[in-house]
Amino acid sequence: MRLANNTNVSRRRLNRQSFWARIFFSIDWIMLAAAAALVTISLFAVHSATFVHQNPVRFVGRQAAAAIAGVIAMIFFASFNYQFYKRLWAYIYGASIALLASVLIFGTVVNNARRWINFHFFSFQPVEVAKIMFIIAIAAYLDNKRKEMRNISTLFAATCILLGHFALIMLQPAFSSTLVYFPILIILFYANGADVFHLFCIITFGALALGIPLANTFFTLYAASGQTSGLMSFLISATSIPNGIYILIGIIILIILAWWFLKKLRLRIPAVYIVALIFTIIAGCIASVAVEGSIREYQRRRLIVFLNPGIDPLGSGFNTLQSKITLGSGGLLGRGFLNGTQTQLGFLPEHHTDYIFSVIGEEGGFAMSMLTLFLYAVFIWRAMLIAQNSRDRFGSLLAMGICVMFMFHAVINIGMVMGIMPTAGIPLLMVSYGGSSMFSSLCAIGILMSIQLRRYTH
Amino acid sequence: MVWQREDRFSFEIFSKKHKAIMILFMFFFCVLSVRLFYMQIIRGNHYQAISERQRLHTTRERAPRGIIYDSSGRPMVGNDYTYMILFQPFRQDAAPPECAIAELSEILNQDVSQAIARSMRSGRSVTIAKNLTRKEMFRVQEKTLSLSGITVAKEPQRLSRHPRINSHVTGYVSQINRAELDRLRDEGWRLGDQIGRIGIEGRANRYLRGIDGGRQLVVDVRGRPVQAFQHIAPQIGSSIHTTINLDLQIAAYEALQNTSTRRGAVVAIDPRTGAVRALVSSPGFDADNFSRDFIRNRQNPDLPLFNRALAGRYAPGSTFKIIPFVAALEVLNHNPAVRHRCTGSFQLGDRYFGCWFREGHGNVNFLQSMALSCNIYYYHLALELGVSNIERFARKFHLDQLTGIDIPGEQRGFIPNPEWKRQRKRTRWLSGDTLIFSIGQGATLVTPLQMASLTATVANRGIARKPFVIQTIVDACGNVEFEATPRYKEPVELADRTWDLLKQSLVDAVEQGTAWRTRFPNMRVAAKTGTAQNPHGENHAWLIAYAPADNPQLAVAVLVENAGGGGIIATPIARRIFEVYFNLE
Repeated sequence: MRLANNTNVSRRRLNRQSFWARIFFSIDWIMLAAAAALVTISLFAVHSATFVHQNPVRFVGRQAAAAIAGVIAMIFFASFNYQFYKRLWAYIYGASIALLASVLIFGTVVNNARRWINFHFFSFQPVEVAKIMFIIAIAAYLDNKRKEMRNISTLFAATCILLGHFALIMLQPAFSSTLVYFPILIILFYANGADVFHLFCIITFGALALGIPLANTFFTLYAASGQTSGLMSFLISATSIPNGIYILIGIIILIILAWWFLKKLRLRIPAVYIVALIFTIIAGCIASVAVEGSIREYQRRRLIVFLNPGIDPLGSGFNTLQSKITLGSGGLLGRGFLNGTQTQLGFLPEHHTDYIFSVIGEEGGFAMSMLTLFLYAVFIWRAMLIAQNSRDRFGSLLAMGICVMFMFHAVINIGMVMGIMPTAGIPLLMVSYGGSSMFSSLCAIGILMSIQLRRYTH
Repeated sequence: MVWQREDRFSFEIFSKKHKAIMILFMFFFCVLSVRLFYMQIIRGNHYQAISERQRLHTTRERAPRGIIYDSSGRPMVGNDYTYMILFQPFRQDAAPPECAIAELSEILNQDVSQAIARSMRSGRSVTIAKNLTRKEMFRVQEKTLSLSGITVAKEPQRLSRHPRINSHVTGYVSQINRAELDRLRDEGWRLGDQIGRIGIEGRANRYLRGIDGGRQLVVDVRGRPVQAFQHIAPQIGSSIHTTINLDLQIAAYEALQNTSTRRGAVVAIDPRTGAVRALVSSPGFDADNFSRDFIRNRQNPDLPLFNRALAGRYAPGSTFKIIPFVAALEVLNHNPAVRHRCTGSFQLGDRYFGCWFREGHGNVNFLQSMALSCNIYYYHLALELGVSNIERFARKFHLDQLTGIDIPGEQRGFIPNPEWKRQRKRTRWLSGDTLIFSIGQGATLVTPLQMASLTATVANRGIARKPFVIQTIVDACGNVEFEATPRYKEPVELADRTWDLLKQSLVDAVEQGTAWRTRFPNMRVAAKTGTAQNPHGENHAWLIAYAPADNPQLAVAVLVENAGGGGIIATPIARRIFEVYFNLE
């Protein structure tokens, strides 16, 4: 906000200064410092996480190499004018599709999933870069359609842009990687002025399509763990086909009755809303059948078991339980660098990638994990200011899309570690071990800087 | 601030939505921060405890029980060590490899896959094999790296010096059962612990039990030990110093084993304190292998598990004559010079009551009646005294009470009276009942321990002490936890003349009467024989004795089941005991 108020003063000052000095004073050093601190924390955490079971020098070395490559790319993207993307968005989108398709053709299979392209001396996860390309594409598309945001067709077309990526990623399969696409799309819709009722329908649709199969899985697991009750068996039947239909009809009748009742109270709601809502609910329920078929049983379990990991403590709930124990046992000041028993004895699974935040929490305690969270908050706050101070709508939407990407990676990952979010294998950007995500996050920061640096040029 | 190529209005709309999104993000960070605070600060200790629990694998090391010594410090019961193999499942989804199980089965010569499968299912640790030899133990220990979850544990085992001889005094140990566990869990007992059952083991469980130690290992997620965490050495239980004289105990048991039936009991008490010097019941059982021999012992007609010294109830026979003897002096002020003629039988109404000496003792006086154990004289006394006086004196000598010995399992004696007979048998008490009551036959029942206690009381001229076995209890550091103090019962108060005459008559029984086999050239012994008729066959042989008569140091009661007359069968046993105790010959 202060940036905005001081605009005139700073602009005058900038005009008097040399080119390099102008660049130096335009760069958001607070954001960069937060990012640099996060990368530093990442190197230490990866060292600790791989200390016993892997070779820490190799892992930290790779992470550092990815960070250095990322910084070079960041400088490149910062100097590159982001406004070119706007014209090239269709090509960028095409390239991203080609990238995702190539992983299906040339990718190597790890754990039954084809997610990596192996270049012998390093391997690369295209989905991380594809996310940023998707953000560029969707920001450009929405910028073009800014006058038609209240049309359903615009939303529908934008959703189709997403579905291209979604389908290719689901073929890998990497279901959890797609999770972050949806908040990006919905928040950009909202920021670009889409009708709130439309967004409500989209969210309802998504919640029903995904929620019904997950609820069914959860109730079945719950019953299998021996805690059966009448309510449970009712809930299982209510979320499966024959009884679910009766309940659906009942809900629709209730909505119509409520609408009629409100109408009697002189509270007129256009009938089109009710029809759209009912249509959405029915569509969501039908889609849930398709979703149930497309997500595998183990994935569904993983996604829902966080609600009560005790119902499957050695199976799908193991990771959540151990991660909570790991994070919680850190206490205020932690158990000391390389002294976390959960991490070093291997109780915490995937400790250098998805559960890196637990490692920080165990060995650094509340102090370090809160610092990490705080640095993330500072970083996103500064990035959001860039979105507000951008020169044009495209820059704002692009910066905001990148913010949402960072934010939802953090929320889903840290939430998963804390046991309040589904177990989805998505990394904590800039902190988790993984060259591709580190590299692509730094590229994204480069794009943010590019938007930041060009905020006054007309 | 305005977007390029757009009006101010559209930017302001965007600004509002930007603000809303910022608020949403702030909300997310707040939720994460609060959750972080809750998990790490508020619930930190809880999670830390779980983390510790799952990384530390504790193997319990059982503490050996305390040692039981005899009066001169020789161990009666000690400990031996055996090795056993435990299996601890860490992860129920990671079963040990087949080949490792097969290898273990081969070393142990038994199929362990069932036990391991059971353990994997239940998630509890299971004892796979017990009583390993050293060789087997080392072979398994070499393999523990490949056999994840296998632990070799050292297990103390009770070892008796003389398992059969001392079995009824020291008792035995066996695994704690469900009911005891429910009752004793608060005192720290756990499943699989050895608990003492009878005798000293049963009585002094609380002291004998040591403090279990343990070894804690840091294990990784697969259950493989990573490093040692700590080792708490088990602490042995308190040792018990008993009053038992091991030589006397051995001599008594061997003497009983030399009799024809080998069934009997010996109790020897130091009358000056009440300390039990010997307490033997023959046949004994192997205290070290109680569980193994249980069925065999149960089926043995000689009842080796039955403690005859404490719980065997027998008719006292002529040893009971002490009671009418003192009753006559106290109640009737009986003149010892009075003679009765013994013809071998005594007529009461239309029934005849015999003397053990069919030919008859001729004219016997009061002291001779005791020495010769003449029944006829006591029939006369019984008729003069009446049943109530005899009963009163029997009770006065505590024959109807428990002696109060400090080991469990004691039975009470029984003194009949007319009231009892009317209630139980629904018939009247007859004069004939009084006659046989006076010579220790009929319904009267006593235990060997009671008779030994009575002998000690007689030797003490009426001072009655409760017998005890546990002298001191000393803990592992040498602190005395318990020291026996004399415990008295109500003294038997009689006139000095009565005590003098009683002693004289008992000495006469040795010098010139039925107990002559216990006569020693340089020590005066007082004794009374008894021959108890019983419905189970041959008579029980009794002897009660104390020595030296003028300064009593040992009071003995000997019982041999179905072996014949007390004068012939029981006296050599008492003689042997005095020989050993006083180092005679």
